[in-house]
Amino acid sequence: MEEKIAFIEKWDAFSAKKIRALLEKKPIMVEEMNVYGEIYTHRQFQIALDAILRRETARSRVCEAVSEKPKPVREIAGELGMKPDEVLRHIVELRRRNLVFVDHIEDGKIPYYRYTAPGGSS
Amino acid sequence: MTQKKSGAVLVVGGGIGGMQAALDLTASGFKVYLLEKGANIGGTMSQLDKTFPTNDCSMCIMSPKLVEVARDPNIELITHADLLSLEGEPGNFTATIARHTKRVDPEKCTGCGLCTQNCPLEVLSEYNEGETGRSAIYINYPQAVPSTYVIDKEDPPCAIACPIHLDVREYVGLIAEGRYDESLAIIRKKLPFPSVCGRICSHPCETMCLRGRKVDEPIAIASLKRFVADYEASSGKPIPVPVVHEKREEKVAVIGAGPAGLTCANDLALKGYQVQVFEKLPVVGGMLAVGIPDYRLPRDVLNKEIDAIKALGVEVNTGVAFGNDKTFEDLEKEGFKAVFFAVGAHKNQTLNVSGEDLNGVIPGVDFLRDLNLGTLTSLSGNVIVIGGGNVAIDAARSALRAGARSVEICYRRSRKEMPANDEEIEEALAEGISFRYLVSPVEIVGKDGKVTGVRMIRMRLSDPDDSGRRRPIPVKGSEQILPADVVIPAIGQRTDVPLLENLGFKLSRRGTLVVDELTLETSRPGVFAGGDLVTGPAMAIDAMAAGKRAAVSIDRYLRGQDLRAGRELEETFFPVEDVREGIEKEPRVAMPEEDPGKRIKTFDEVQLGFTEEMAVQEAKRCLSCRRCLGCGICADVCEADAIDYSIPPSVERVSVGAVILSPGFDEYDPIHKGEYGYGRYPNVVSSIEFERMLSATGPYSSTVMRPSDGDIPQKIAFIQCVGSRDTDHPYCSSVCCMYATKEAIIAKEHLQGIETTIFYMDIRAFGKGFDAYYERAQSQFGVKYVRSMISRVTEDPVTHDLILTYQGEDGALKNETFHMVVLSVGLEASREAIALSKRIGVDLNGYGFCDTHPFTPVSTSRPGVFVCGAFQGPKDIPETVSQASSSVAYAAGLLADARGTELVHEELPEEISVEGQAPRIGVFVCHCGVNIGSVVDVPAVRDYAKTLPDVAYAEDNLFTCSQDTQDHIKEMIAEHQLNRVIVASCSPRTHEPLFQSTIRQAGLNKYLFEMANIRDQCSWVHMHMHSESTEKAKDLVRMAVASARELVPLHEKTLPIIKKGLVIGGGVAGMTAALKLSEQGYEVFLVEKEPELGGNLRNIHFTIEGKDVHAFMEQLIDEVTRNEKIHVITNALIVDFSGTQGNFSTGIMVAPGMYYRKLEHGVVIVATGGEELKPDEYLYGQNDHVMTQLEFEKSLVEEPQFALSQNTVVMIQCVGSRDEQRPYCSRVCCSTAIKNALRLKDKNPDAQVMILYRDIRTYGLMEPYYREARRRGIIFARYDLEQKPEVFEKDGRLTVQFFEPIIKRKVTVMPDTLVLSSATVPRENEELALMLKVPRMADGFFLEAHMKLRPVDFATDGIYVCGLAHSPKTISESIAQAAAAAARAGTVLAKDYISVGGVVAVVDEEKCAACLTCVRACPYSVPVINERGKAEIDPIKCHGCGVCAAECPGKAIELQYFRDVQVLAKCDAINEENEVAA
Repeated sequence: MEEKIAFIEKWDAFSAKKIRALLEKKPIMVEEMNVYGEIYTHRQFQIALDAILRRETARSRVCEAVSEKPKPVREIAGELGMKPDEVLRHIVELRRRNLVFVDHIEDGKIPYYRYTAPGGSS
Repeated sequence: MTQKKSGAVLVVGGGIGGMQAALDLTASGFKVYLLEKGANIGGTMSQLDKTFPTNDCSMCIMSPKLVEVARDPNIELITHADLLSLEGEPGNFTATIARHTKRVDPEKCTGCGLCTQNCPLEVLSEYNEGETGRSAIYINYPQAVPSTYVIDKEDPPCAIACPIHLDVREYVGLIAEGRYDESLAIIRKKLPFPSVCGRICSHPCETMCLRGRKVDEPIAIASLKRFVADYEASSGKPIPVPVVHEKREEKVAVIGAGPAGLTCANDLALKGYQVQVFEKLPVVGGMLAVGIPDYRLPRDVLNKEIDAIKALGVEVNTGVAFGNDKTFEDLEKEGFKAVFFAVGAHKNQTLNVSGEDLNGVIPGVDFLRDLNLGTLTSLSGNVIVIGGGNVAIDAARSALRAGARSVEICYRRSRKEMPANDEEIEEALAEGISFRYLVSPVEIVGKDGKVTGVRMIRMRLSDPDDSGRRRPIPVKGSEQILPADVVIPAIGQRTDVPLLENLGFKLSRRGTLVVDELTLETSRPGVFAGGDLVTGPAMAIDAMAAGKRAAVSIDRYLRGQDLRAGRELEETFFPVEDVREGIEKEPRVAMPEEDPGKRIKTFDEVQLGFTEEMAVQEAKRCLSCRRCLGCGICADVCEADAIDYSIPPSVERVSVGAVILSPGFDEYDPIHKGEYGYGRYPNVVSSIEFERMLSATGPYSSTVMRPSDGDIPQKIAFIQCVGSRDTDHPYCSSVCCMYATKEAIIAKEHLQGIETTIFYMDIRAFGKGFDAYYERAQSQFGVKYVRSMISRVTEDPVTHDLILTYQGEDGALKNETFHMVVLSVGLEASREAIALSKRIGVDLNGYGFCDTHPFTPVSTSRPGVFVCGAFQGPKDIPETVSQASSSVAYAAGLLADARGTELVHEELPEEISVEGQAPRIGVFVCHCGVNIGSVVDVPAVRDYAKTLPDVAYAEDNLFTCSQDTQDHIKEMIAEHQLNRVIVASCSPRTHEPLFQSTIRQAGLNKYLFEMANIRDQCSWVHMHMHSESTEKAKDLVRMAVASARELVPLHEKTLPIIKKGLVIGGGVAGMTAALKLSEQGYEVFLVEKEPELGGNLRNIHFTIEGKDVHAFMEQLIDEVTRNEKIHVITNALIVDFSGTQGNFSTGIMVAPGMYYRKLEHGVVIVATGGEELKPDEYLYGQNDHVMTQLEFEKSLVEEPQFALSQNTVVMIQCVGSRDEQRPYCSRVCCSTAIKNALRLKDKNPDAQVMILYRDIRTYGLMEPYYREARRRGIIFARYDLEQKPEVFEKDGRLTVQFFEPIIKRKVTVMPDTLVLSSATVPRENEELALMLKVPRMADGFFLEAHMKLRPVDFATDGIYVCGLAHSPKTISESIAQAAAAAARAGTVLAKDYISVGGVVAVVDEEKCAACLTCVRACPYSVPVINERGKAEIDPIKCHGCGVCAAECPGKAIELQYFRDVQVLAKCDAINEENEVAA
């Protein structure tokens, strides 16, 4: 798990920070209760965490894929073995986070994306 | 004595309609409670990208209204809330409102967004139609009002579905980890019968299980519950007896030892009460004991759980028949303080056929009871069971075990409608029981008093009945006798009606006991009732829920507490509705069962229970559904300490005089139209999803992309009428043609070179400016329109392109490939609104929209409750806004006496004079949470500000806008004698008025304020450039200081308002406007140029709905003329006009004497109307048999023989409309033609009617009349403008020739009458327009201030327009618009004074050269050259835009608050730094 978080941290430090913050909450949530007094089992906590980790890992892989040169959705999908619609959904979120940008649009048809680390010039 | 009316109004729904109503109401002097179900107001309009026909940005035009609502001190926003009930009468209602918890304190939340950024959870955003994610704590969009964040803690559907809301997710979760004892303890907290329910519960939880609904099969929740109970039992542990902490003396009696009674007894015993149960039967358990066979619920299992209840001290007395052995009086004498009455429903429903008394007929409930009590031990022969519920199955399976040779279940509907549990049916089938469907008994036949068979009749299924199941209908002549030795009718149970009546209870028509739903109180004090006795036969768990509810009531009753408080919200839940991605399918663990061959010989348990391994495996399938995780991170990061997870929901009651409903509509879900592939093909999207794709704040930042692969589509198809004009939705949704046109245009604007094609039936561009927009879409933007409905969309599985098959204009089938398909989805009645209407008693029409009358279009069936917007029927934004104002006119008229009684007025201190003082500037620099603070070095900016000239004080704040900072600013002004204030923060658009009001409260003139926008224009746009941003922030602050040093106080003047109105035009619009103004208490001059009132109503006889127009007109004229406040002046012509809002003066000449009269008034409503064009084509005026629709209508009504004399009538549509000369649609001609055609058919069914049309535009709820016309044989034939019908006389007969596009040949008809649907044109109004200085469109209709949001206002304040003067419309629409104009006018007249001045342009006459530049430049035509030959700008009219000041070549004009000296000082301030830097 730490490995996964470290990978996410490399591309999206804020997201990794949020995951770590959630992990810090685990002892209270699992051994005591969450803020609503609901019981959490280890497994239930893991279900929630796994979903977040899976999604953020996939996003970081998308970041990595477009960090060297701009690529279109289909190329990223092919490289990562993901479905194009899934890649697009991740790109929507990564654009919202100002991590991935449209580099150019080829022939007015195919947008190419690139990754820019936070703080780098956009 | 009548009660004093309330001066407050409740507006339900915060969309554009609700906002407009709220703003008009407060401006008219009423307090408003604006209730919105969602977290924020804004409604659907906030989701739109652009609006037609002006292509304005939707959010840009709406957000000022959002801000206005947020700031209005007399609007109390109640968001995230529901209206539960409405009691009382017009003028005095009490509305009960449920406030759901946001878990965020609105007083503390500053809207900074830190919480949302740090929330680890991501869910789908409803605002972006699921195309993007959002956090679990959220607001919908950045401009949202209120800006308070909301946590959406949602509950798992299983727990919601459970009548006692067992914590399913928790106990199943614990089983998955092997923590069985803890799991069972959680169940037992609420339920004393885990073992019983684990076996026999009908488990509604499983039906709602999201895994079952969205992934594969539901979790076996009941079986898991049974497992933990059995696990405890098998380990030899006894059921733990809880410690009762408090002992109470009061004795409570429970009548009936069934699931309801025992659960109530258990809960009361736990609370410490002395509980005695009285039961008529010799055994305990009610139906659990005598209604359920042993093979499903072994007796020892039941008894063990009953024993545990007894162990709490509950005393159970069997064999006590209440009513005979014991009465309520006895109980009272014995010292019982409260009673729970739960005797169930143990009587059999009879079949009501002959032969039921024969030997061998054993009613189902009796049969099961006798078996369970051992009074019946066996039977033999062939058994027929009649019925389809669980009792029927239990009886059948029991009969088999008791020795029957064969058993057959006969049911009158099919398997699909059978109410019995599926698993029970399966088990019965496995045991060899046969089922016969679609039969119903008509007689039980017998011989010598003994049954020999049942005469059955076959049934067929017709339409669904109230229960939603299809109704069985007997098939004549299909009777047959089925031989039988035993017949068990099991068609339901009922209560013991005579017993209940003897006890004096109130009964429903079904014979069930009537109680208060919330508290279960009966009419007898201290007696509560529940279970089957109240609900009729229901699930055991429902009875247990009633027992629990009663226990709470009885406890409160005995403690003397309020029985209702806080309980209204007990059943309010927000279910989780989505599952996370990527869940793998995994089958449900099957319940092991005894072999059918073995089990049918005994009553031993059939289901054997899960092993531990099975239970864990099954429990691990649980998805642990939830949204907010409850991790607590948002509270940790919230600097304002606003988050409190324990804030409970609350119920509050408000007193209001009227209610306005504006709850909006639901979008049709195209998933129901399988043929279009929505939900299966990723590139088929709904119109609202496409709208979000076009939007800059949408998922793709306004570049439309294909969801399948992100490619930009080059060819997009729009399919119209998806969920409109079909069998389920027989109405037209009115807006789709235009929004599709708009979306097609905008898509082409965004993406050069793409193709957009709209597939349609009729283009319904019926609104003002719509047809021109439609024409522009084709000619200017190249949008393609194809008149063809698409029957099917298929997908190329490799490219995800979409193939549309359609009939081309040439009739041949065509296949065309598109990259994306947009479904123009219709508007449906809102499910929420339907539920709301039922709660408050407002009638709906057949489509689920609010029922209204054509002559009172905004009045609901409940007096004092009004309606506006799409809830009244599909409509666009302007009509919604207009109806909103209209509903205000009705409410304001109703509550005129109470106007102003509940308004809050701010008391302000006297202004401090700063004249002659040197500037002492205070600078407040805001972090805006992290918005500014994480980019800009705010303390550095603060320190820099301190070094600037005349800055006396500077500080930084986390949130300068928070309430405590506002108070702090006031203190600092006093402490440091500040006389200028600068806030460096966000946008003046949203926050300037707040800060201005703060400094005004501190005694400073509000214009001594300046703002530096270091967020939107600095930290947001340079978020990656920290040091540069800080430098820019310093620049902006320095510029603000330079400007602030030049600020001077500005003073507004007040002028009194003449509280009278002038209405021009005495038709339906004018009369309605006059009446609505007078109802609000204002005097009105109603000026009509004709000798009598009535206008066009005189020419119309009935509406399309069949309502009598003349009767309505007579009544209206009567009301107007008898009204003392309305001065009707007929034969009058307006000859001069002057003045401004609040103070107009109008001169009129009155015929026949032609005397001159001067009228003084504060507002003007223009209702000059329109008329039917006299055509100049198709032989009109040359042949007597050619007439207009109005003339035809008159003949139909007034000439008795006319209709019968008509064998053939041809109508031609669009005569004089939609052509080069009049490029607009006259809107009403299609419906008028259909109305008259139908009337002709009523009178002469044999008449042939043919309507030649271009597009049939029966928009909204008029569409069903078009349908009816076609059904009744009226022929519709389409023609094009290029190929108009030809009309000539041939052999003295009128002849019409036209090209029929379906058969593709010319058709010749010789009608008796040719009816021309002629255009509606405005009445002569040019002179009036010039006098009033109000604009007209090229076609002569008046032009309103803004087509979307100010539909009845002119740009000139105080002048309004309505009716046909505005554009063609129906009577109903004219009435609504006229009332709207009256409401808008009322907002001016409600005030005593008007404030003018402030930010206005001022002329220095010394410098003015009277060059007329300002006169030409002003967009509002304000500057005039006065008698001194100088430009003069009336401060009352000036909008403060500054155009004149910028244009004036002589620098003679200055805009106050933005004077040259300020602007120049700012410019110099930029240079200053540059010089230093250089």
